[in-house]
Amino acid sequence: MGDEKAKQDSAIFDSTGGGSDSDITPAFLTPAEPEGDNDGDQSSRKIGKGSVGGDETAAESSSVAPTERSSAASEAHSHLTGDGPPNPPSTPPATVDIEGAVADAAAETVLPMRGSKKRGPQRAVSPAAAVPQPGQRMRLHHHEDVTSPRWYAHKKHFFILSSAGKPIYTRYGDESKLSSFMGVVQAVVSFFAEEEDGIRSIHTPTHTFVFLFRWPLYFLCVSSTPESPAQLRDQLRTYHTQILSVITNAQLQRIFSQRASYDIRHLLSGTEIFLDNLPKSFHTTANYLLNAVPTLRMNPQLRAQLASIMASTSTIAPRPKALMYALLVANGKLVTLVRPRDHSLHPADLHLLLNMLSSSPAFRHGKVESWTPVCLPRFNPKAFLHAYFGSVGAEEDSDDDATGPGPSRPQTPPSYTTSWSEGSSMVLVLLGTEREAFWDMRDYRIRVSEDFATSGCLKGLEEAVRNDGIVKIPGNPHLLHFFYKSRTAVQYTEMHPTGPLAYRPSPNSLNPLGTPTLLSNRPPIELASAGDLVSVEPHNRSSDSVPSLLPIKPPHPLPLYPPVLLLYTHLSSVLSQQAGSRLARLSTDTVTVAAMVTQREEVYVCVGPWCEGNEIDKVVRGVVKWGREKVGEIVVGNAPVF
Amino acid sequence: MTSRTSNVSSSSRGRDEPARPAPTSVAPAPPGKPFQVKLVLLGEAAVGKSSLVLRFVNNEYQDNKEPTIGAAFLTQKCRLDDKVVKFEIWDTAGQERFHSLAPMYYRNAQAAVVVYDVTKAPSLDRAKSWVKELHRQANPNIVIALVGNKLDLVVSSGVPRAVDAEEARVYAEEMGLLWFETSAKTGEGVSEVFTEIAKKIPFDLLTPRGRPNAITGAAGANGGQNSVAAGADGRVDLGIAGGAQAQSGCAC
Repeated sequence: MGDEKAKQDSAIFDSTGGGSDSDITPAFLTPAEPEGDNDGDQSSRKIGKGSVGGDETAAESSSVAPTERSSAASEAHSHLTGDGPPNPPSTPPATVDIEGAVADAAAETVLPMRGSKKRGPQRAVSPAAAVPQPGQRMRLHHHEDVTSPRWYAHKKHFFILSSAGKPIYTRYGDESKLSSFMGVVQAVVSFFAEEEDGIRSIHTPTHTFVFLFRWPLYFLCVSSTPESPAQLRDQLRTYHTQILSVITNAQLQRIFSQRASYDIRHLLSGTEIFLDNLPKSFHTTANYLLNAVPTLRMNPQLRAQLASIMASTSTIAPRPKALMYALLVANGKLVTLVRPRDHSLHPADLHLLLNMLSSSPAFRHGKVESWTPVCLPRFNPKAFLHAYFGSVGAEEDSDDDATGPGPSRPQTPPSYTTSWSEGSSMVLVLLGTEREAFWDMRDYRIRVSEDFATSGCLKGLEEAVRNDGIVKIPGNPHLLHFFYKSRTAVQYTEMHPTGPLAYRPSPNSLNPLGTPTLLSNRPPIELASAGDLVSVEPHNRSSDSVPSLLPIKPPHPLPLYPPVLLLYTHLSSVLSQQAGSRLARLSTDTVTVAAMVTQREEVYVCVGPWCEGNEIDKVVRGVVKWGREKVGEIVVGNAPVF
Repeated sequence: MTSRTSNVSSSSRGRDEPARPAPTSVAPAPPGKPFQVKLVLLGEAAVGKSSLVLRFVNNEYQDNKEPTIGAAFLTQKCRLDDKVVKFEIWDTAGQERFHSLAPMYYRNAQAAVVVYDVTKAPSLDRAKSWVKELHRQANPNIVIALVGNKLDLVVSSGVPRAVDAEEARVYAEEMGLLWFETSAKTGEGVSEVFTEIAKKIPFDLLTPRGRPNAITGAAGANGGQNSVAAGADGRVDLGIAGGAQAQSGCAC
């Protein structure tokens, strides 16, 4: 056992265990290649991800080339119409997708708007906030289970169980009270697994059930949001990645090959905060939607200067030998990254780190430094790296300062707030191979932080943080928000939501996160059609739909008004399903969103409802033009390597 | 100064430095030369270790604080009589899976705060087993404080007390520990813990400004990749190591 461990540890240093060596233009990111699973549909969301790895030509012919591949696969299509799902809230006829049979997109993808008609008897409104018992994990709705109507009313459930049917995680409620539910899930999955054909999704008019099997774990999402099965499956993969960061795949395999009924919950305990935070990341950032890395926009010279300070071989506190990656992150966005020449960092691993940062305020607290093992599954699924998190720009606690205060006195207020949107924390994330390297990492962080300050870079960085998301594009008065993604760099930037988007509607008047009712208010849903446009049937309006998004009162500014992100999500899935389409748009009472995919970029914009037709196109093209002009400020380019 | 790593070999190095014998209780420490005290917090998950530290270091409190991941490092300077004491605090995660990493943090610590929850009887048992482990494996001169936290729950929230104060006090006395009851929420008793610890630290054995206490071992000093060998005792392998430890008391 000891030997085995030593071997695994040493695998950290095995260069073959590292990420891809392929060099692409923005050299630090591994291209977001499709996962090595055989789902067949892995590419359906990531529009044009194929363009990253170098087969530009393939992507050129069609911006949604991956989908074409999938439709080829769908010739082996076996489309089951069967009984309702075992345990859904309502059981109308359902469709079941079987692995290897890819949905004929238009016909089968349950158009999410149908979900808006749900009026299940159990549907309840604005569930009460969880009141965790002291000392317990802050669970969402921990008192709920399969007998509570409210439990069924949540828009999106995530479940994780072992292949033996043991509950591991639930987003809502207490997983240990869901054993019978998990048992049913396990039975369903196993049933199909025996047919040598895994179950992939179940569609009901109101809900989509999406399954992911990664031995020894089963993942299930039950959703009534307008996200496509492919998008939901990507989210399940993110859950899988998150688990692997805590328990390496090698450990999992070993545990479950020895004892199939093992309960791994205590190995995960404490890290549920990362899992709990994922849905928030899905709905408040475009990290997963765009499958790209958010960057902080800044002057490229400044970025280069920051990077060179980080890469510098200063004699005062040299770069620790154990250091693999040094990331500077501000406002949840990447500023720069210094890495070894032959090890790029996969966006999925980077997303993992960003999710960790966003999950735990301690990682961003100006007075706290953290040191923890973490496995980056794309870098090396077998071993842990050691991660250091420490702030830069915070007041340094100098030893020479003799005016030591007494033990209890008021201090400066904490430098973090509960969310990135309010804080402007700048964090250095250092990943290394030695678990004892904390002091080296700390010295390095202090040195870098001081050099930032003395060189004046810190001021520039702080200014970039202050200006984060503030964009003026001349001649686009209607623009409320946009994402601009450089597909070659796999990075994106955004404009802060403005106008009505900047506010959360009053909680009792409107749909909480994730509701599709937004889509249901204005028939027909307009999607530009023909040629490079997409058209989609308007769905039936539901008479009981919740009206208008216009803000009642603006109590809480949000980083991004979540339903708009869902609208983008929907556009993205429409685009990925329609071969050859490059532009789509969709209107509601209050906003119009549009998406455009070109060879070089992906753009999502949101404009006010008064903006129509050609004007929208003009806005989109304006953003594209802006992005191309500013690409130097957006993209974290060739940061120094060592 | 080139590299503070050289300090890893630590306490011995501190003593070897003849220049600053620091007979502290007599002569005032020169300004700007704080005595560094490495302190580690141990205890079951969710007893309030991080909350205690944050109350001490930043005078802040947060309900439903998220669990600590790995370990958190904080520093706080205090004035004690004529000395400046700089606490270097390792706030460890209480989860079982991190148990195998704990020795890295208490090794060479001059002080340990072992925390339990006055409303949870099993948390005292866990605290006792930490005390046992410290006595067995930590620095023999380590100053240990046993702290019953969440006193506010008993005092004002009507949660029944599960750990009798007298029982804990007697135990602490038998084992030679300092003993306190605190509330990180109200701040009650928190600074006393650290002040009393500081008073008990044998400063005449310490040198100001050294780093007598890295989380370290031989490995760090060598740098380089050979330190993998140290992985055998200092394994990175979190979960399973913990799970396999029979004495770990986990109910898996």
